[in-house]
Amino acid sequence: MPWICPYCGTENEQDGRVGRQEPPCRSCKNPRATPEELARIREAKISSIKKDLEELNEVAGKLRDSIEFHASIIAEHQQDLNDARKELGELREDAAPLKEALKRWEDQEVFYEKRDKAFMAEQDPFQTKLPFEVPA
Amino acid sequence: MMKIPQTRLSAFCNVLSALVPECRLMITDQGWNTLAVDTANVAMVSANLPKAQFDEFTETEKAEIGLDLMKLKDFLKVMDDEKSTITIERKEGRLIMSDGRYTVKHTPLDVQTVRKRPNPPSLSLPAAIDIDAGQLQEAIKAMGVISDKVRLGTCKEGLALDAEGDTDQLHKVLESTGKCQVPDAAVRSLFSLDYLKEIGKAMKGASTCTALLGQDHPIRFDFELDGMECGYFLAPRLEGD
Repeated sequence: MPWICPYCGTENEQDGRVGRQEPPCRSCKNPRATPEELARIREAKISSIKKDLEELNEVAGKLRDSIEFHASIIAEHQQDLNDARKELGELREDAAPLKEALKRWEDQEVFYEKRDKAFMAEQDPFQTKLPFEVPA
Repeated sequence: MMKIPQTRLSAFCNVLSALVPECRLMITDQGWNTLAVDTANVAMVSANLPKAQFDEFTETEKAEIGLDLMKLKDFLKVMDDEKSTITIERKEGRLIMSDGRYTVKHTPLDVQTVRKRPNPPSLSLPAAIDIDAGQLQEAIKAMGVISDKVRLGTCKEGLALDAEGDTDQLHKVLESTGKCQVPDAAVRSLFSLDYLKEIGKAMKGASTCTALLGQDHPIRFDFELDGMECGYFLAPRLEGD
C-alpha cells in the first residue's frame, strides 16, 4: 500500500515489506512512522527545546549579573581616574613655574659623586672577601 | 721598546680600571701581565697581554712597575687616535709614551706603595658555561633596575640571573653559546651588582666569556679581549637564614 513519508513528503508507492521489516523512505531513508509516533517525537523535541531554553535563560541571567557587577567596578575606577587626572592637571600647573625657573641653570653641569663600590662592600656584613674561604 | 695599538692599550687599561685604580704591572720577555685585587678584597682581576699582541716588543729583562691606571686613562684620552700606535720606552725609571703627536714622560708609582699581587683563590668550581659577553652585560644592566644584587645560577640552558627587589622580581636565562658544564643539582650564588656592572662594561668588547661558579662560591669570568687573556674573580654575598 502506498504511503507518504512524514519527514520529506515523498510518496512511497510500494510497501516492499520484507521479512516483517518496515521499508524506509526511498528518498530520505527515515523509517515509516504512524501519526501517533510522530506526535510523540514532536512532544519529546518540544520538551527538550524548553529545557534548553530554560538553561539559556539561566546563563543569560548570570551574565547580566556579571555585567552589572563589572560595570559598577568600572564606574568606581572611572571616578578614581577622573580624580587622578584632575590631580595631575594641578601638579602640572604647579610645576610650570618651576620649569621656567630651572631654565636659568640648564647650561650648568651637574656633578655627582660616583657610588663607591668598595665602600659599599665593606659596609655590607654579608659580603665575603677574597681569597675566599669555604664557610664551615 | 714596546709598540702597541692605541685600542689594545686602552682595552687593557679598561679591563684593569674596572676594579682597581692602580696595580703592579709585570713586564717580562713574554709580554705584560698583572693580577690585582680591589680595595675591599671583593674582586680580583687578571690580565695577560702576550708579546705577540705588540707590534714591537724588545724587552728582555723582568721588571715590575706601579701603574697608575687613572693617569694612564687620562693619557689615552689625549692620545685618542684609535688608528695610532703607541710607543712605550722605559728610561731612567720613567715611562715615555708617544703616539707621534704627543709624548708623555710619566713617572710610575713606587712599586712598594702599590698593593702586592694577591694569591688567586684555589677553588674547584663545578659549573662552567660559555655565554655571550654582550648579552651578559645587557642582562646585568637590566638586573640593576630591580635590585643592587643578583643571584647567578646554573640551569640546563646556561646561566640564570635573578634579581629580587622589595616588590619586584626579574629573571633571565642566558643560553650557553658553547661549553655548558653544569652539575645535576643547580648551584647559585649572590653577587653585588656594583661590581658586576663594572665587570660587564669591561667585558663588553669580548665575544664570549666563560663563567665558572659554584654554590655560594666566588664566580670567575674568563674571556679573551683583543688578544688579551683576562679574568675576574668576584666574592659572593652570603646571607644567613
